[in-house]
Amino acid sequence: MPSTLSLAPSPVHTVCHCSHCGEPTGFGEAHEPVFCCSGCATAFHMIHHLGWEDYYALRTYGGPRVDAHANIDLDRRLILDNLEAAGVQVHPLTDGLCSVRLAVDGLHCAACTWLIERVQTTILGLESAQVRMSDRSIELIYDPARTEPMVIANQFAKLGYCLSPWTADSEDTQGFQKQQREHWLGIATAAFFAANAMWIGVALYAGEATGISAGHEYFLRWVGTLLGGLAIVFPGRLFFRTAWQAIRSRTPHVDIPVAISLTMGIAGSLWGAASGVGDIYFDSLASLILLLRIGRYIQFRAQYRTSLSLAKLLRWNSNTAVRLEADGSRTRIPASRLNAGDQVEILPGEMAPADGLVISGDSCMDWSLLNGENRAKPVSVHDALYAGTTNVTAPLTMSVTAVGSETRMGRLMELVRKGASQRTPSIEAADRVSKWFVAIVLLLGAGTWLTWTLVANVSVASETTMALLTIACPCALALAAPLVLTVAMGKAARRNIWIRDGACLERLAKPGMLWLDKTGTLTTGKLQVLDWHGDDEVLPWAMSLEKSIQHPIAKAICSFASQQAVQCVVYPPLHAQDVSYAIGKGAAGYVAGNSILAGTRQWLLENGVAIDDAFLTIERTAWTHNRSVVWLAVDGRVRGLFELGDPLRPDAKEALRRISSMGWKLGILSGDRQELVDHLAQELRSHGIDIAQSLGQHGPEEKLQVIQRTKANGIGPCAMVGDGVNDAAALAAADVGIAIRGGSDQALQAAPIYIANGSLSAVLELMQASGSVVRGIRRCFAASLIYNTITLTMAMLGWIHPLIAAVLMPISGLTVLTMAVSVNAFKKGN
Amino acid sequence: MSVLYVALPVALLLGGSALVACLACIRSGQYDDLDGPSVRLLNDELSS
Repeated sequence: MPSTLSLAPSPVHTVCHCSHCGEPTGFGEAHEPVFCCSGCATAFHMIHHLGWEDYYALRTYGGPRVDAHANIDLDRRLILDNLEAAGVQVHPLTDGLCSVRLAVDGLHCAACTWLIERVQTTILGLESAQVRMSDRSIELIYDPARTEPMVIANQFAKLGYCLSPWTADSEDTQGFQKQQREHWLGIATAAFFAANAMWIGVALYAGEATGISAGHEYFLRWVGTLLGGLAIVFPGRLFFRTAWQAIRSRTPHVDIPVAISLTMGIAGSLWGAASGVGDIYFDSLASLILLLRIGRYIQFRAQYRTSLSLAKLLRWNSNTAVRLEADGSRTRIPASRLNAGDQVEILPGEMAPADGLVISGDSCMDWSLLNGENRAKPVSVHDALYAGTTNVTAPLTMSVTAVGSETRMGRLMELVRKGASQRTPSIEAADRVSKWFVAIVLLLGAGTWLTWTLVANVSVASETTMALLTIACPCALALAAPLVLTVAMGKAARRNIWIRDGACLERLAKPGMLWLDKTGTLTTGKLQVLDWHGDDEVLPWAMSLEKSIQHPIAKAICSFASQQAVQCVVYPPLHAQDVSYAIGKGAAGYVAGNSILAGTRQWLLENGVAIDDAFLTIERTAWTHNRSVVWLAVDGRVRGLFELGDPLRPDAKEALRRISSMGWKLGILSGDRQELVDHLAQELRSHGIDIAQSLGQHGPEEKLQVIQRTKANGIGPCAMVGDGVNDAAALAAADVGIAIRGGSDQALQAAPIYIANGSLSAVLELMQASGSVVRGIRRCFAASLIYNTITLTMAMLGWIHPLIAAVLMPISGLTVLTMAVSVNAFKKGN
Repeated sequence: MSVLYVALPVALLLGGSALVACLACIRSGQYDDLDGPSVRLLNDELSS
């Protein structure tokens, strides 16, 4: 148990990782399977029972986390129950079978595909289940007479894979597939022409060196011209088309200089080929087109991924709502069809579908999505409710005041979308460098040719210019930065750090200001029992009482009791009877004939329990450490006391200390109460947290303002680490936004960097890796520049023969490639 | 050396036919899912 606040010596535990999903789990011994929740345990045993342990060997990432009571939630069930109404197309096949495409949540790597397609064989009536990794979808072919999508979805849910309707972005995906294929077609043709034009070029240079018959030279020149021409007509057409559109609409575009360079090249080469004296550059032109097409493709992928994660984020409210009709009946409709003035019912465990006012009912709302605070707030009649908050305890009726993008949540998502789209992808660097490079080289070539024609004669001039054009290789310059970044990103992904925007990695090299969210980022974000004072034998009783209650505290006590007192679990399990519950006070009930009370001291006093002085002292100490206390009484006598809190992440202190020693300033940016933030800041003061920069009670909008202020007057980059939707706007606005896996919120993958293993040390690793990456890029640039300057000068002076130039050119590219791959970012064991 | 006049077009034609085959593969959607098939291979072997 990573109890960082505890006074009493806590039992020695190593930090273990859940055997199924790989999430850090505080309990258990290292050599035995441990689980973060009973859902994961079920999935693990199910996989072992079926003899498919190979799954754990095949996978490269942790599996999906399974909810304890793995059943698909109400909304999805409603939709899956009636696919036609939800707009999902079910295609009837010839032999009475049906086929349907659904989205799968929780896919990580190829092993998931393997597991899902294995599970298919155990589900009756499911003929085939084919997963498509690229767009995270699954095609089910089933026999409608024997099974239905809901049953199948339930089976998959037990393993942690949730199925949901796929319609929302199926058009998008089809468009993506089509565009992706077009990019591939272009790259393939460009590669064919480039490769062939290049070896014809090599033959010409070799002929220049060793002698070639005029007929052969003439023939090779024309074949080269033909190949280069085809390269421009087919894969290269794209650049002329966009350049022409840009000229017509009078907007500057990168394709204009690219098209000018290409035109210059074509004109020169055509003249050379026709007159037989000048040079032909068709090999260079064809390879340039190939490089540009590859650059475009990478850019297209990056943009698509951004838009996809944004679409996911904006669909946070794809849930349904129960509307109360005028005649008192209830209908369940999609939340998008609500209007202001409608009355809706929100059951416990459901999310408010819109902003509104409570009309009737008393309950607690969980605000964690909006402000990251994990304590439920009580609400009653006339209180405002915000979309995105979750009802915890009792049914509420609400009158809707704002829906969709008008809600506070909707406006927040709009801020996120703006922040994320302001970012320009760094991939354009390849275009930028190569287009100027080409223009400069062509100018130099023309100059060299003229000079040498005046000084010597035309044939010497041609030879020198040819050497110059061959040796000038934009590949090394253009590829250095993207290559180093791609290699580093690949290595990071193997360590469960997913980097979407490579430029972010570069920005972390210089120390600046690092803001950290509190709940879920510095802490684990889950309420846990940190200490228990009392008899272990009453734990099963407390557990059976709390089991029937939907409350974070009850859940924490249940999981503590089941893990701490496994040996005292009674079979058959005990069942609590006559359970009653008072909001903000506690619960009462009967277990095996004994009256059990769990709650605040006040609750126990109200029920006539005498309070022990020893326990009072414990309670006071716990309060000074900002922990909540739950008293447990059996048959009118206090039998124990739970101390609950949100513990720090086990690696937080060490990571913070090392980050601050690198020169970073650390601040806390939290939606939680200021006193709690202050308390944590005091504790972490010696680890580099700045007390003056520990801000509490900051909602999503204020967090965004703090980030913008820091960016405006800060020195160095402004980075933010957060875990909730309430941090999303700040993450998108920061120079470097790092989302950390906490509340398992898929939406946060919209952040440029996503730490999937949920450890804070990954932030430290990122910073160290960033240094190596920036140094690596500089080394590659320097090497490439020096190389090009020296060889170009030598070529212009006529010291290099075209044949030697043809050999030297690939060596330059190869050097940069080797240097880029050898950059040791994310080295194991640092 | 006049073999060059025959060999070069033949080489280009051979390469060109490979290119056409590659384009046909892309168009048919063979490259749309690059991760799935590698695992599906294992799947068939085990379930047989």
